[in-house]
Formats: sequence, C-alpha cells, structure tokens
Amino acid sequence: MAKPTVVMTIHGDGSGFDVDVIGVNGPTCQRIQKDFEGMGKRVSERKKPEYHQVQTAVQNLAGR
Amino acid sequence: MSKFDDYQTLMNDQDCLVESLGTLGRKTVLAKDQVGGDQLFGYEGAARPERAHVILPRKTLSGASNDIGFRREADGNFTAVVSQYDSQIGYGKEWLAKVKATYLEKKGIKDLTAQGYTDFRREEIKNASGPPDVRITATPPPAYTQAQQVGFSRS
Repeated sequence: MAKPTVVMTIHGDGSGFDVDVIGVNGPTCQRIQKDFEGMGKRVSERKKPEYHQVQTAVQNLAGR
Repeated sequence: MSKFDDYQTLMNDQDCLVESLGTLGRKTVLAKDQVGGDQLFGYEGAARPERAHVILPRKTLSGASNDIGFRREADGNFTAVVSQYDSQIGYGKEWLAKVKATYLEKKGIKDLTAQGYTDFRREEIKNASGPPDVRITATPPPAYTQAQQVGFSRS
C-alpha cells in the first residue's frame, strides 16, 4: 500500500482547494477529512477516476 | 484507494489573514473595536459608513485610495470591503484571489501542523487559466496510520 499522504491543492483563483488522501482508507480517511473542515466548506466528494473504471468493467461483464 | 474532496474557501482565521496580507506586502491595522469593527476612512479623510476588523490604511495603498477592510461577519468569516476606485487600481478580484490563495496556504500549514502532520512539501503547478495552483503534500500523524494498521480507530 502507498505511504499515507495527504495532498492539498489550492486553486490559483483562491476559490477553494481539493484534498486527495492517498494510502489511507475507512475511518482514518474520515478523520483526515475533519482536519480540513476549519479551512473551508466541503462542497463535493468524488472518487478517483480509476475507481469509476473498475465499476464500468463490472457493469460490462454483467451485461453479457 | 484514494479519496478526493472539494472545499470552498472560508476565511475565518484573523491571524492567517493578517499574515497573508503581510506576505503580499500590505501593512494591516487591527480595529480597536474587535466586536463591531472600526469605521473605514475615505481618500479625503472622511469617515465612511462601512466598518471592518482588519484594515489596510489608505495612506499605505495610494495617494487617492480609501481604506480597505476585512469585516468579520456573524458566522466568523471575513468579507472584503473595497471601494470601486481601489478595485480598479489593483485591489479587485485578482488581488482578492491572491489574498484567499495565500490565506489558504498559511491556514493549511498552521492547522495541519497543529494536528501533527509532518514532511510538508510545496510546489506550484502552472495553470493555463490564471495564477498557478499550489500543491501542499504532508504525511498524516503516526497515530492515524497506526490505528489503521491494527484495524481500529478511536473516534
């Protein structure tokens, strides 16, 4: 598993930031989310693209 | 698996706001009345109806500037108070964007350090549509990952 890392990308226009949590899952991930709540209002939550690719493959198999 | 979240900027830390304005080369004055804020003054020296809690004195801006202020709202967040004139001479949307981005950087490092994060790295990423994004990478506190390895968490 990847070394636990948190990546905060601040938008150049100052409008907000993204947080990417790598190598961490479950309750620890939620705990890390809380550490960012004082800096901004969470407006969306999304999974990384590869997650969606896996989901698509499952759907294709199911359709056969 | 990784997780992505998007956040909207909230400026609610006065120390970080003052520090970021200083980083951008601006001298700030804190209002004497930290509840209601002090009145701002116009270019001719007359008091204006607007009030603010963090003030950039007009004399430090330009000869014809009005005071620029940051007013703390009821929810604790700061709102910029900038005259139309000053927004046209370099203190408009682009400048406010720099203030917010600099604030986020200060606030992020301050809060994460307080939570025990380490190994901070900073890099700028070119952005075709405007000022560069800033990427801060950090390692979560050991307690977080130790809890994960043994399969439990303390909430």
